[in-house]
Amino acid sequence: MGSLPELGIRLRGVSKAFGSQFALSRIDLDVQQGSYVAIMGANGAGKSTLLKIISGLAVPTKGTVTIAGIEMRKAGPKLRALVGVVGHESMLYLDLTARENLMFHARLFGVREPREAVEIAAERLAVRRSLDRPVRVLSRGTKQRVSLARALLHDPAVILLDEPYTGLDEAAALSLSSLLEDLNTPERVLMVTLHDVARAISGPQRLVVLSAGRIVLDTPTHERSEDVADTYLELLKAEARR
Amino acid sequence: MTWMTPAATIAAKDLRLEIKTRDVVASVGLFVLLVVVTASFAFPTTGDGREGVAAGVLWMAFLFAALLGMGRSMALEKEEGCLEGLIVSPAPREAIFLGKLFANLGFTFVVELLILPVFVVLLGLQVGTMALLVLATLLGTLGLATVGTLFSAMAVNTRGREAILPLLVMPVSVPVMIAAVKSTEAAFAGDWTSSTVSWLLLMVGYDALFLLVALATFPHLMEE
Repeated sequence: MGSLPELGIRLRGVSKAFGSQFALSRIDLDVQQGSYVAIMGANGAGKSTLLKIISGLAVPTKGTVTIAGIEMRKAGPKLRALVGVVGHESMLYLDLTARENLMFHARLFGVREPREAVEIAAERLAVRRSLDRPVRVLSRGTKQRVSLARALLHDPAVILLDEPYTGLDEAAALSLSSLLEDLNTPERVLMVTLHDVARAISGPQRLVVLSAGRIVLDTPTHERSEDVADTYLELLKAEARR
Repeated sequence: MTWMTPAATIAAKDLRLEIKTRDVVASVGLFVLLVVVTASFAFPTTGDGREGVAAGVLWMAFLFAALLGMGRSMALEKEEGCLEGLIVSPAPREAIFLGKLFANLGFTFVVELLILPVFVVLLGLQVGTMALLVLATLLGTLGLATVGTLFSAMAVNTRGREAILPLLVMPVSVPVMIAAVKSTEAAFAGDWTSSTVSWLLLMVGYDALFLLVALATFPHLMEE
């Protein structure tokens, strides 16, 4: 593959071990700017570890991760400001209101007009009515949407979402799918871990499947999407038989 | 300064959380008050050397306050993965440490400010040199808070972190505790001598050393 556009993500020989157990093993992956990539795989396949390494939350045991040509380990605040992350947990303080949480993160990310940014993000995620309630009392779905608002406050160029549909009802899930489609612009990179293959082939342009810490499938989704879904399900079945 | 803005943002967030929950000041303050009241019955409040006993009891209470407060403060960051939220932010890791340190210092000072007058009254003490007492409290608390904030970040990912934090902090804080007790004893006795200056200088050196060590090591503690 040729040189990456400005905000591409490049992983070279990335491995991550916890003790003697490898969560990821020699991953090579290039993600171009403007891509919307779904990462799939069975539980424990290494999806979350992969996103953690790209976001800088975890350090690879071996290999390098570069974003915009800069190695993530050496990334300063400027590079981290380009990345928005939604993890398994909400990263929200339960005793603060949604607004206080969002204001805190807006200030931490150096957003110029934090109040305005909070209003815009809350509007986008349909959580305006919950802004002044403590996060502790919010439903799981609303908390997830506030967490998404937190990740989008600073208009990140790289968006990493780890199972963002968790806890959302069907209406909220549809609205999230539509939001992700909107966020998929030529300037951005979107990487989303998913469990639902139907979602992976309907929105993202590319599907990367992990199994036991290795990439076992890397394919565009828009052509022959049913074949992609069938291949994925075959892979899962093969893994279950092992 | 690029560290100060995010550090102040983090400290302000901790303050806001504390105002809402009163977790640290109320529970820790009450605990330390009980320690002080019990000590006032257990130790002699008259006779020679009572300033030394009083200073020792006072700093034991301050140490407990600092340990409990800092453990709680870092544990809050683990709830809902909030610490990860700080790590993925553009805030330098050193600023995260300073933010937590400022907040811990603030909470500990508030508890100390509430406890100190009660302690002086209960033990029938007179403060001979108020400036020395204030200086000893500031320097001693800075040392305890620096070490405590660093080790609470280390202990937060371990099982039984409440037990591990004192095990880590207490041995390392011996020099600053001795210096703080000696300086506080001199403040109660109104006896500012050259050895008091040495104890104060020891605290300055301890604080500076551990602040540098903490700033150098904290970023590595944040890596998985």
